[in-house]
Amino acid sequence: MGLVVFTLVLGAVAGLAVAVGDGWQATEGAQALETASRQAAAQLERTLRAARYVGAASAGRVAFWVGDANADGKMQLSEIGLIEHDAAASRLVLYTVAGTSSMAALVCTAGDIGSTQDAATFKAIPGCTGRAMAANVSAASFALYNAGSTTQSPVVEFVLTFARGGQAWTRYGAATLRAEGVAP
Amino acid sequence: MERRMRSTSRRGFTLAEGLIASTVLAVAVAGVAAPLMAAAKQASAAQETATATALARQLLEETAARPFPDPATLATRTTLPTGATRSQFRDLSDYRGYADSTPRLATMSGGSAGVTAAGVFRRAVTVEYRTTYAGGSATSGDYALVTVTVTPPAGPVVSAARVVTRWARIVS
Repeated sequence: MGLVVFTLVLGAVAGLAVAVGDGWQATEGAQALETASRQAAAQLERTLRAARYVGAASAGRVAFWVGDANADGKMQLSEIGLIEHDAAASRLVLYTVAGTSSMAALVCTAGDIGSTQDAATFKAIPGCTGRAMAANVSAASFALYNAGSTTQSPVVEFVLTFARGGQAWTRYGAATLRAEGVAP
Repeated sequence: MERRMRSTSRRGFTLAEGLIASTVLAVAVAGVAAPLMAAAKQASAAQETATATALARQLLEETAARPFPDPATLATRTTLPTGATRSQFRDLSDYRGYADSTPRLATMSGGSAGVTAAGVFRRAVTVEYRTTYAGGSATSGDYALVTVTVTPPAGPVVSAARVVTRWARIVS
Protein backbone atom coordinates (compact mmCIF):
# COMPACT_ATOMS: atom_id res chain seq x y z
CA MET A 1 0.00 0.00 0.00
CA GLY A 2 2.82 2.35 0.95
CA LEU A 3 4.55 1.55 -2.33
CA VAL A 4 1.40 2.44 -4.28
CA VAL A 5 1.08 5.81 -2.56
CA PHE A 6 4.75 6.50 -3.11
CA THR A 7 4.46 5.61 -6.81
CA LEU A 8 1.47 7.92 -7.21
CA VAL A 9 3.34 10.78 -5.61
CA LEU A 10 6.40 10.15 -7.76
CA GLY A 11 4.18 10.14 -10.83
CA ALA A 12 2.71 13.48 -9.80
CA VAL A 13 6.18 14.89 -9.24
CA ALA A 14 7.28 13.69 -12.67
CA GLY A 15 4.19 15.29 -14.22
CA LEU A 16 4.98 18.54 -12.46
CA ALA A 17 8.58 18.44 -13.66
CA VAL A 18 7.46 17.88 -17.27
CA ALA A 19 4.96 20.75 -17.02
CA VAL A 20 7.61 23.05 -15.55
CA GLY A 21 10.02 22.07 -18.33
CA ASP A 22 7.42 22.79 -21.01
CA GLY A 23 6.61 26.10 -19.37
CA TRP A 24 10.24 27.10 -19.30
CA GLN A 25 10.68 26.16 -22.93
CA ALA A 26 7.65 28.20 -23.97
CA THR A 27 8.77 31.19 -21.88
CA GLU A 28 12.27 30.98 -23.30
CA GLY A 29 10.89 30.94 -26.85
CA ALA A 30 8.66 33.94 -26.18
CA GLN A 31 11.49 35.85 -24.53
CA ALA A 32 13.88 35.10 -27.39
CA LEU A 33 11.29 36.31 -29.89
CA GLU A 34 10.64 39.44 -27.87
CA THR A 35 14.37 40.17 -27.63
CA ALA A 36 14.80 39.64 -31.36
CA SER A 37 11.87 41.96 -32.09
CA ARG A 38 13.33 44.61 -29.80
CA GLN A 39 16.70 44.45 -31.56
CA ALA A 40 15.08 44.62 -34.98
CA ALA A 41 12.92 47.58 -34.02
CA ALA A 42 15.92 49.41 -32.55
CA GLN A 43 17.95 48.83 -35.70
CA LEU A 44 15.07 49.96 -37.89
CA GLU A 45 14.51 53.09 -35.79
CA ARG A 46 18.22 53.95 -35.85
CA THR A 47 18.43 53.49 -39.62
CA LEU A 48 15.35 55.56 -40.38
CA ARG A 49 16.06 58.31 -37.86
CA ALA A 50 19.43 58.87 -39.47
CA ALA A 51 17.98 58.96 -42.98
CA ARG A 52 18.20 62.21 -44.93
CA TYR A 53 14.93 61.76 -46.80
CA VAL A 54 12.19 59.16 -47.11
CA GLY A 55 10.72 58.83 -50.57
CA ALA A 56 7.98 56.33 -49.96
CA ALA A 57 6.71 53.77 -47.49
CA SER A 58 4.10 51.14 -48.10
CA ALA A 59 3.02 47.75 -46.85
CA GLY A 60 6.30 45.91 -46.68
CA ARG A 61 8.69 48.50 -48.17
CA VAL A 62 10.49 51.78 -47.43
CA ALA A 63 12.61 53.64 -49.98
CA PHE A 64 14.90 56.30 -48.54
CA TRP A 65 18.07 58.35 -48.83
CA VAL A 66 20.34 56.70 -46.26
CA GLY A 67 22.69 59.67 -45.95
CA ASP A 68 24.86 62.02 -47.91
CA ALA A 69 28.02 59.91 -47.75
CA ASN A 70 30.10 62.21 -49.94
CA ALA A 71 28.50 65.41 -48.60
CA ASP A 72 27.74 66.79 -52.05
CA GLY A 73 24.08 67.45 -51.33
CA LYS A 74 23.05 65.04 -54.05
CA MET A 75 21.41 61.66 -53.78
CA GLN A 76 23.58 59.10 -55.50
CA LEU A 77 22.36 55.60 -56.22
CA SER A 78 24.83 54.17 -53.72
CA GLU A 79 23.18 56.31 -51.03
CA ILE A 80 19.71 54.90 -51.57
CA GLY A 81 18.31 52.25 -49.26
CA LEU A 82 15.34 49.96 -49.68
CA ILE A 83 13.95 48.08 -46.70
CA GLU A 84 11.76 45.24 -47.82
CA HIS A 85 9.89 42.45 -46.13
CA ASP A 86 10.81 39.15 -47.73
CA ALA A 87 7.67 37.17 -46.96
CA ALA A 88 9.04 33.92 -48.39
CA ALA A 89 12.09 33.96 -46.14
CA SER A 90 10.35 35.78 -43.25
CA ARG A 91 13.08 38.39 -43.16
CA LEU A 92 13.40 42.14 -43.21
CA VAL A 93 16.12 43.05 -45.68
CA LEU A 94 17.99 46.31 -46.32
CA TYR A 95 19.07 46.61 -49.95
CA THR A 96 21.80 49.05 -50.97
CA VAL A 97 23.98 49.50 -54.03
CA ALA A 98 27.69 49.05 -53.38
CA GLY A 99 29.95 52.04 -53.94
CA THR A 100 31.96 49.95 -56.37
CA SER A 101 28.97 49.45 -58.66
CA SER A 102 29.24 50.92 -62.14
CA MET A 103 26.01 52.81 -61.47
CA ALA A 104 26.86 53.93 -57.93
CA ALA A 105 27.47 57.58 -58.86
CA LEU A 106 24.20 57.97 -60.75
CA VAL A 107 22.39 60.97 -59.28
CA CYS A 108 18.79 60.26 -58.33
CA THR A 109 15.82 62.54 -57.81
CA ALA A 110 13.07 62.41 -55.23
CA GLY A 111 10.82 60.98 -57.93
CA ASP A 112 13.13 57.99 -58.32
CA ILE A 113 12.32 56.85 -54.79
CA GLY A 114 8.83 58.34 -54.71
CA SER A 115 7.29 54.92 -55.04
CA THR A 116 8.13 51.47 -53.78
CA GLN A 117 6.76 49.86 -56.93
CA ASP A 118 10.17 49.82 -58.59
CA ALA A 119 11.74 47.64 -55.92
CA ALA A 120 12.47 44.82 -58.37
CA THR A 121 14.27 47.24 -60.70
CA PHE A 122 16.34 48.60 -57.82
CA LYS A 123 17.30 45.13 -56.64
CA ALA A 124 18.36 44.21 -60.20
CA ILE A 125 20.96 47.02 -60.31
CA PRO A 126 24.50 45.63 -60.54
CA GLY A 127 26.10 45.69 -57.10
CA CYS A 128 22.81 45.82 -55.23
CA THR A 129 22.96 43.51 -52.23
CA GLY A 130 20.62 42.77 -49.39
CA ARG A 131 21.51 42.56 -45.73
CA ALA A 132 19.10 40.88 -43.33
CA MET A 133 17.94 43.27 -40.62
CA ALA A 134 15.68 40.81 -38.86
CA ALA A 135 14.58 37.19 -39.06
CA ASN A 136 11.27 35.51 -38.23
CA VAL A 137 9.32 38.51 -39.53
CA SER A 138 6.00 37.12 -40.67
CA ALA A 139 4.44 40.48 -41.58
CA ALA A 140 5.59 44.08 -41.93
CA SER A 141 3.87 47.30 -42.82
CA PHE A 142 5.20 50.84 -43.05
CA ALA A 143 3.51 54.20 -43.38
CA LEU A 144 5.00 57.62 -44.03
CA TYR A 145 3.54 60.75 -42.47
CA ASN A 146 4.31 64.45 -42.86
CA ALA A 147 5.96 63.91 -46.22
CA GLY A 148 6.53 67.32 -47.77
CA SER A 149 5.38 69.17 -44.65
CA THR A 150 7.22 72.38 -43.92
CA THR A 151 6.36 72.41 -40.24
CA GLN A 152 6.52 68.76 -39.19
CA SER A 153 9.26 66.17 -39.52
CA PRO A 154 8.66 63.02 -41.54
CA VAL A 155 7.63 60.01 -39.47
CA VAL A 156 7.85 56.39 -40.57
CA GLU A 157 5.48 54.22 -38.62
CA PHE A 158 5.93 50.47 -38.63
CA VAL A 159 4.15 47.36 -37.44
CA LEU A 160 6.27 44.21 -37.47
CA THR A 161 4.96 40.79 -36.57
CA PHE A 162 7.47 38.19 -35.48
CA ALA A 163 6.54 34.52 -35.41
CA ARG A 164 8.39 31.38 -34.49
CA GLY A 165 7.44 28.00 -33.06
CA GLY A 166 3.77 28.85 -32.70
CA GLN A 167 4.52 32.10 -30.86
CA ALA A 168 3.88 35.56 -32.31
CA TRP A 169 4.91 39.01 -31.21
CA THR A 170 3.83 42.33 -32.72
CA ARG A 171 6.12 45.32 -32.48
CA TYR A 172 4.62 48.75 -33.14
CA GLY A 173 7.00 51.66 -33.45
CA ALA A 174 7.86 54.91 -35.17
CA ALA A 175 10.95 56.73 -36.32
CA THR A 176 11.10 60.49 -36.79
CA LEU A 177 13.76 61.76 -39.15
CA ARG A 178 16.28 63.97 -37.40
CA ALA A 179 17.34 65.51 -40.70
CA GLU A 180 15.21 68.12 -42.42
CA GLY A 181 13.66 65.41 -44.55
CA VAL A 182 13.45 67.52 -47.67
CA ALA A 183 14.15 66.18 -51.12
CA PRO A 184 17.59 67.06 -52.52
CA MET B 1 15.89 -21.75 11.79
CA GLU B 2 15.10 -18.62 13.71
CA ARG B 3 17.26 -16.54 11.34
CA ARG B 4 15.40 -17.86 8.27
CA MET B 5 12.02 -16.99 9.83
CA ARG B 6 13.17 -13.47 10.45
CA SER B 7 14.29 -12.96 6.86
CA THR B 8 11.03 -14.23 5.34
CA SER B 9 8.97 -11.92 7.54
CA ARG B 10 10.59 -8.82 5.98
CA ARG B 11 8.20 -6.64 3.94
CA GLY B 12 8.42 -3.57 1.64
CA PHE B 13 7.25 -0.10 2.66
CA THR B 14 4.52 0.14 5.21
CA LEU B 15 1.69 2.59 4.66
CA ALA B 16 3.04 4.79 7.41
CA GLU B 17 6.48 4.88 5.81
CA GLY B 18 4.98 5.69 2.43
CA LEU B 19 2.90 8.50 3.86
CA ILE B 20 5.88 9.97 5.67
CA ALA B 21 8.00 9.82 2.53
CA SER B 22 5.19 11.36 0.48
CA THR B 23 4.76 14.16 2.98
CA VAL B 24 8.47 14.92 2.90
CA LEU B 25 8.37 14.89 -0.91
CA ALA B 26 5.29 17.13 -1.01
CA VAL B 27 6.95 19.66 1.26
CA ALA B 28 10.04 19.61 -0.97
CA VAL B 29 7.92 20.07 -4.12
CA ALA B 30 6.03 22.93 -2.50
CA GLY B 31 9.37 24.52 -1.65
CA VAL B 32 10.52 24.23 -5.26
CA ALA B 33 7.18 25.33 -6.75
CA ALA B 34 7.13 28.69 -4.97
CA PRO B 35 10.33 30.03 -6.60
CA LEU B 36 9.25 28.58 -9.93
CA MET B 37 5.98 30.47 -9.77
CA ALA B 38 7.82 33.62 -8.73
CA ALA B 39 10.19 33.21 -11.68
CA ALA B 40 7.27 32.79 -14.09
CA LYS B 41 5.62 35.90 -12.65
CA GLN B 42 8.87 37.81 -13.00
CA ALA B 43 9.24 36.74 -16.64
CA SER B 44 5.69 37.85 -17.36
CA ALA B 45 6.32 41.22 -15.70
CA ALA B 46 9.53 41.65 -17.71
CA GLN B 47 7.62 41.05 -20.94
CA GLU B 48 4.94 43.52 -19.92
CA THR B 49 7.60 46.12 -19.16
CA ALA B 50 9.24 45.51 -22.53
CA THR B 51 5.92 46.00 -24.32
CA ALA B 52 5.10 49.08 -22.25
CA THR B 53 8.52 50.59 -22.98
CA ALA B 54 8.11 50.01 -26.72
CA LEU B 55 4.67 51.63 -26.69
CA ALA B 56 5.97 54.62 -24.74
CA ARG B 57 8.92 55.04 -27.10
CA GLN B 58 6.62 54.93 -30.12
CA LEU B 59 4.47 57.80 -28.89
CA LEU B 60 7.42 59.86 -27.67
CA GLU B 61 9.18 59.37 -31.00
CA GLU B 62 6.04 60.54 -32.74
CA THR B 63 5.88 63.73 -30.69
CA ALA B 64 9.44 64.52 -31.80
CA ALA B 65 8.04 65.22 -35.26
CA ARG B 66 5.71 67.95 -34.06
CA PRO B 67 6.60 71.61 -33.88
CA PHE B 68 6.54 73.52 -30.64
CA PRO B 69 3.34 75.56 -30.42
CA ASP B 70 3.56 79.31 -30.33
CA PRO B 71 2.87 80.16 -26.66
CA ALA B 72 0.93 83.26 -27.75
CA THR B 73 -1.63 81.15 -29.62
CA LEU B 74 -2.23 78.52 -26.95
CA ALA B 75 -5.18 80.32 -25.41
CA THR B 76 -6.99 80.94 -28.68
CA ARG B 77 -6.24 77.81 -30.68
CA THR B 78 -9.09 75.84 -32.20
CA THR B 79 -9.81 72.35 -31.00
CA LEU B 80 -9.43 69.36 -33.25
CA PRO B 81 -12.59 67.78 -34.64
CA THR B 82 -14.01 64.84 -32.71
CA GLY B 83 -12.43 61.59 -33.79
CA ALA B 84 -9.35 63.26 -35.22
CA THR B 85 -6.49 60.83 -35.69
CA ARG B 86 -2.93 61.55 -34.56
CA SER B 87 -1.89 62.19 -38.15
CA GLN B 88 -4.02 65.35 -37.92
CA PHE B 89 -2.25 66.66 -34.85
CA ARG B 90 -0.71 70.05 -35.58
CA ASP B 91 1.83 70.42 -32.82
CA LEU B 92 2.81 69.21 -29.36
CA SER B 93 -0.21 70.77 -27.72
CA ASP B 94 -2.57 68.38 -29.49
CA TYR B 95 -1.00 65.54 -27.51
CA ARG B 96 -2.08 67.06 -24.20
CA GLY B 97 -4.36 64.57 -22.51
CA TYR B 98 -4.11 62.06 -25.34
CA ALA B 99 -4.86 58.51 -24.20
CA ASP B 100 -5.40 55.14 -25.83
CA SER B 101 -5.31 51.51 -24.85
CA THR B 102 -5.11 47.99 -26.20
CA PRO B 103 -6.75 46.27 -28.01
CA ARG B 104 -7.88 49.47 -29.75
CA LEU B 105 -4.40 50.95 -29.87
CA ALA B 106 -4.44 52.98 -33.07
CA THR B 107 -1.81 53.87 -35.61
CA MET B 108 -1.38 57.52 -36.56
CA SER B 109 -3.96 57.19 -39.29
CA GLY B 110 -6.45 55.53 -36.97
CA GLY B 111 -5.98 51.92 -38.07
CA SER B 112 -5.24 49.07 -35.72
CA ALA B 113 -1.66 48.82 -34.51
CA GLY B 114 -2.21 45.10 -34.10
CA VAL B 115 -0.77 45.00 -30.61
CA THR B 116 -2.40 42.19 -28.69
CA ALA B 117 -1.81 41.42 -25.06
CA ALA B 118 -3.26 39.27 -22.33
CA GLY B 119 -4.33 42.38 -20.45
CA VAL B 120 -4.93 46.03 -21.19
CA PHE B 121 -2.05 48.47 -21.77
CA ARG B 122 -3.03 52.12 -21.28
CA ARG B 123 -1.07 55.05 -22.67
CA ALA B 124 -1.43 58.64 -21.60
CA VAL B 125 0.43 61.79 -22.58
CA THR B 126 0.99 64.95 -20.61
CA VAL B 127 2.54 68.13 -21.99
CA GLU B 128 3.64 70.50 -19.27
CA TYR B 129 4.86 73.97 -20.23
CA ARG B 130 7.63 75.75 -18.39
CA THR B 131 9.07 79.21 -18.61
CA THR B 132 12.58 77.94 -17.83
CA TYR B 133 14.18 74.55 -18.41
CA ALA B 134 14.09 73.51 -14.77
CA GLY B 135 11.17 75.69 -13.78
CA GLY B 136 7.76 74.73 -12.52
CA SER B 137 4.64 74.08 -14.55
CA ALA B 138 3.13 77.09 -16.34
CA THR B 139 0.19 77.71 -18.65
CA SER B 140 2.61 78.46 -21.47
CA GLY B 141 6.31 78.84 -21.94
CA ASP B 142 9.29 78.25 -24.13
CA TYR B 143 9.90 74.78 -22.70
CA ALA B 144 7.69 71.74 -22.50
CA LEU B 145 8.05 68.45 -20.71
CA VAL B 146 6.39 65.69 -22.72
CA THR B 147 5.70 62.57 -20.68
CA VAL B 148 4.25 59.32 -21.97
CA THR B 149 3.00 56.97 -19.27
CA VAL B 150 2.12 53.37 -20.04
CA THR B 151 0.25 51.28 -17.50
CA PRO B 152 0.58 47.54 -18.15
CA PRO B 153 -1.98 45.02 -16.90
CA ALA B 154 0.09 43.94 -13.88
CA GLY B 155 3.69 45.11 -14.18
CA PRO B 156 5.15 48.42 -13.06
CA VAL B 157 4.12 51.67 -14.77
CA VAL B 158 6.56 52.84 -17.45
CA SER B 159 7.22 56.52 -18.13
CA ALA B 160 9.28 58.12 -20.86
CA ALA B 161 9.87 61.86 -21.01
CA ARG B 162 11.50 64.46 -23.21
CA VAL B 163 12.06 68.16 -22.74
CA VAL B 164 11.59 70.27 -25.85
CA THR B 165 12.05 73.97 -26.44
CA ARG B 166 10.74 76.45 -28.95
CA TRP B 167 14.16 76.61 -30.56
CA ALA B 168 15.57 73.12 -30.37
CA ARG B 169 14.93 69.74 -28.86
CA ILE B 170 16.78 68.65 -25.77
CA VAL B 171 17.28 64.92 -25.52
CA SER B 172 16.62 63.82 -21.97
